[in-house]
Amino acid sequence: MTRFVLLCCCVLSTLAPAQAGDANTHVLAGARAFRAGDWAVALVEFRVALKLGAPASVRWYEGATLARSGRFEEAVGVFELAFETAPNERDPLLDYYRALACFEARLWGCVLEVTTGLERTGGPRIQQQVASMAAEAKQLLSAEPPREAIDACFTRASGASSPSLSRAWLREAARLGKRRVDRFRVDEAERASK
Amino acid sequence: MLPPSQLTPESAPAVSVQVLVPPQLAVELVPRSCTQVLIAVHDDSQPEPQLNGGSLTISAGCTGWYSRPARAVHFGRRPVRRLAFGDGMRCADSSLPMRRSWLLMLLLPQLAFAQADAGAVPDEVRQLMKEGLERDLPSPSPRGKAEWPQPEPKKQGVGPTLKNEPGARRVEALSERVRNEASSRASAVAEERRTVPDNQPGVGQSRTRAAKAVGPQLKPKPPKP
Repeated sequence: MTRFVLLCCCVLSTLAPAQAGDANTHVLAGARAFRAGDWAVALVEFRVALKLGAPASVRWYEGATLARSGRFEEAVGVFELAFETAPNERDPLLDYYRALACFEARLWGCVLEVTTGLERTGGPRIQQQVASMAAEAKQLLSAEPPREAIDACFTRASGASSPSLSRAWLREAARLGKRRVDRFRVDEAERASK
Repeated sequence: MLPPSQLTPESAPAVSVQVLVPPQLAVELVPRSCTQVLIAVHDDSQPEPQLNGGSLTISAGCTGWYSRPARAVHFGRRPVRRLAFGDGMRCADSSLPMRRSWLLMLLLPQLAFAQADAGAVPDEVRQLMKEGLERDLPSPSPRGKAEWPQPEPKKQGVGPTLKNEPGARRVEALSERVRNEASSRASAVAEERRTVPDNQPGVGQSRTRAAKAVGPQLKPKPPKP
């Protein structure tokens, strides 16, 4: 019995590095496709790599690829997951794509949150784009968010295509709710997003 | 359960587990609780074991994991730097409900996960991604007047952007041709109706019969020899 277990372990142990190597191969293929502007291929490669156990930082690349493809709402969900699992792996460029995804999907609280950091860390090109996004978000958020907008965030969360996108909408609901005097549905959003 | 910072060899809760590791990897263990072992995976090709940021908490009976640096490494009750292939950890604790081999089977797939997680993204990938991200930095679409979120998402990916793609252009060209042909057929029929005199047969009848009355192309074909 012990010998059988040992044999199984040896077989598994030889498979383990091979799987990790496969993941890296797909990450590299995804990066090459991304560099070439082939977003569809890059997305598939990154997702396969993640399935094979690639580092969680690859989620940031997946999110950027979705944003490049114009799939902004999906990108918001993936960026949310990336932020949760690999918060230290982001850089100003990836944060810019996250801000862009939030902007296009109308998560204004998210836009403001991400662009606040970018205004300090981003390069000149990024700062210029960030300024326009932040200005629009600030203008809208200068007024108290209507209850309907917060309700809409909950609706979007319940119909979201992924749990992480759902959490992103709930966090947005909490951000908007905190800007109201009555803190409309803030506790509910924070509870649900955990 | 004690927090990791308060763990000492004496206070380390008992864990009964033997870990067999692949020969190319070194594994360090930290007893965390009766059911948890912290494992750090190293690349054995390095002269000294280096913590490369990848570590793993394995719960006997569950597969949860997270990454945190190992602060203390103990082998049973004595500190160790690393374990070699076949080394194990033996502490007495009968509360661990699992057989040793079962836990072993749980650990090895997780080791693969840990190894992949420990490996950072290669520099080549970072460079390629940086170039790709910087190239043609996408701008936010002009809005002017921002709107609050709506309960229904806006449709994405259809409309003007597709028109630029080659396939969409072919579809558009075909649609145009079909529209033109339909239009010319309709005008031809209208023309036929206008040209048929009121007292001629076919007026007020079906379009086919009217066409038969005036259409030279509907003459009977000569019989084949």
